[in-house]
Amino acid sequence: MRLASSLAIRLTGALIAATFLATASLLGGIYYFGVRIPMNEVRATIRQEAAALQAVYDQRGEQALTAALTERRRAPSPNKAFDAFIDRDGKPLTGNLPSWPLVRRGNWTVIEADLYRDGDEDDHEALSRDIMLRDGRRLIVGRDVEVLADRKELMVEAARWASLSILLFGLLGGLLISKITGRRLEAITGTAREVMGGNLSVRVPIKGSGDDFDQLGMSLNAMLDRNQELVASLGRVSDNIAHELRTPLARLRALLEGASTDGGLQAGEVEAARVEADRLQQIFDALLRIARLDTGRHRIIRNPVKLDELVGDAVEFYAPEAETRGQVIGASVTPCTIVGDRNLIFQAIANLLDNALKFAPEGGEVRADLEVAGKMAKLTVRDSGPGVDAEHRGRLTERFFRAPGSEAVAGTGLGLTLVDAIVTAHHGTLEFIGDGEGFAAVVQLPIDVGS
Amino acid sequence: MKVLLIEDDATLADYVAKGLRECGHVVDICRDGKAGLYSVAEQAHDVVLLDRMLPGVDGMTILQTMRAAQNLTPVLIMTALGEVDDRVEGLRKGGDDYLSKPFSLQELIARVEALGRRPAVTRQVERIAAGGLEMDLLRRRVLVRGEEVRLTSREFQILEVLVRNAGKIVTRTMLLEAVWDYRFDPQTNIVDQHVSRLRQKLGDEGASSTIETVRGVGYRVRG
Repeated sequence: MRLASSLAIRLTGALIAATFLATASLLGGIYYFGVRIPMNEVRATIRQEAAALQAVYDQRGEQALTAALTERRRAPSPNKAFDAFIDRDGKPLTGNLPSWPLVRRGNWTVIEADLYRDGDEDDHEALSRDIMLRDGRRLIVGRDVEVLADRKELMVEAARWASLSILLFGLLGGLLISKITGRRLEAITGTAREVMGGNLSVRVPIKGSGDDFDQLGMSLNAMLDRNQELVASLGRVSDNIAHELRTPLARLRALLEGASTDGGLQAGEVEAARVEADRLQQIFDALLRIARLDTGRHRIIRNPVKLDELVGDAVEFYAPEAETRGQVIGASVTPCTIVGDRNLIFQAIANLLDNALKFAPEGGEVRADLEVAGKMAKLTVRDSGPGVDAEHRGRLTERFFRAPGSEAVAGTGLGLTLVDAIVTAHHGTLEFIGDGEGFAAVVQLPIDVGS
Repeated sequence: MKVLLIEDDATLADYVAKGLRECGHVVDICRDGKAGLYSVAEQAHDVVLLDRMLPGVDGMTILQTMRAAQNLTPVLIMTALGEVDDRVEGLRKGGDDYLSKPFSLQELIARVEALGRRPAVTRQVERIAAGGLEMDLLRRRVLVRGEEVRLTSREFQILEVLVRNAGKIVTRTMLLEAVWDYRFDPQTNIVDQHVSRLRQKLGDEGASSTIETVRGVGYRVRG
């Protein structure tokens, strides 16, 4: 809530400031076009009139001025004309202004010019020009600007009210924002706390409006889904590791316990114990290698590697084994170079061939075919074995996964996992094809562009 | 041979020392890096067995110090890390061989003995012979009791390693490393298949064979 409220305070402040600025510019515009410009027009008119009247007095004297003032008073105009023609001793000679400042205060002045019509007092204001004539007499010429003055006053009042309501509604809005965001954020915080507490299945509630909070919530939920999945698979892997290690350990223990009661191990039992220890070590080594490759801790030496040579060497290496099993092993290679760690790549090819030989029947065939497909080197290791059902093929690279029916074949269930880790570390792909006529593993690795 | 064993794990050190002594070697043991550093400086040993992780001075530091002082005593590094890149690092820093824990004692002894003999073996020779076998290394020819046998180049390499080490055990892993230029784990014991094929070609099967199988360890050509 503290976070939400501080955010809400800032948001409220920004909201109020923005509304205030918008309203101020609106009122300012109205003032400019509705008061300022008309006022300037009136002022210009008065200035002209005063200059003209001064000229009349200067050239034609008092009589003419009085006549001109009378004439001016009668002429119809939206702004009623006011004037006062005052002698040197302050006595009015003519005029319709009810009062004027005794002492001249400058060229412009605003004079109260209330009118009485049918006993009602009507407030008026006259914008006036106060002129000293050359013989010391004084002429005040003005026009009624009461409408404009009223308008100005109205606007000041409007501005005052607007400010007040902006403040009020802004605070109200802010409070609302803080309430809403606070509630949504609190839901997210609550979920996070619960996840931290160990309950991985809770999710951020989604309102369904698709708003920003829903978007955030959905992203967080997707992340939580992925995390839960990873933790679950980690758990499965640990279970599997424990299980896989248990079997050889149990056998070792049985052998040792047998030895302590029978008085020493027989030669065959020593060999059996060694086999179990070797198996444990093999599993550990493979697991460590896979983990190091998967997490990028294994520094891959990147050198140009002639893949065709590696495939040839690997097939040659396994040839005696194939012969012993009564199988045919063959290869066809296209020269191509990739960048990577030759020992790891060789290990991957060896694992694939080892698998193929194990699963091909007696008299069966194993082939390793290397071709170039676009920018990729494509190695297909094929065997004439029973293959793997499509439903299990996707799980072949899982640690310790053994396809049903393969239990009798020796192995740790880590061979293909290691192949996958090596291929992935070399930015390649590993796929399996089981087209009814045996099984094939397809490795694709990017070709060295420099070659 | 005089062997210096630098290893902090007492159980493992005693076990290794006992095994080496049973094979007729003299063993000195150092339990930490500092003592090891003093001992190697004497240069009184034929082979140094060096644990990589030691209290005090690290194994790699001892190795680098030795090589910097032009001490060329063969060093076998033992480590629990056992990764390919660690191995590469160990050999680059001047190690002569590398063995990851846990290892079999016979594997260790075979490697120690191979290291101790190394200078004599690496000398350029044209012909080597053992147990009725004669190898012409320049012409790549093999004579079995005077008759030539045709071998593939890989088979020739296997035989060469065995004959060069005549009278001594060569483990499967040692063969794999010496003959195939890849560091990998073949999972199944394919090396055996290669040796058995080689034996067939040499007409060397049966109890009196020249290439003798040492159960659970490797092979030995009768000297």
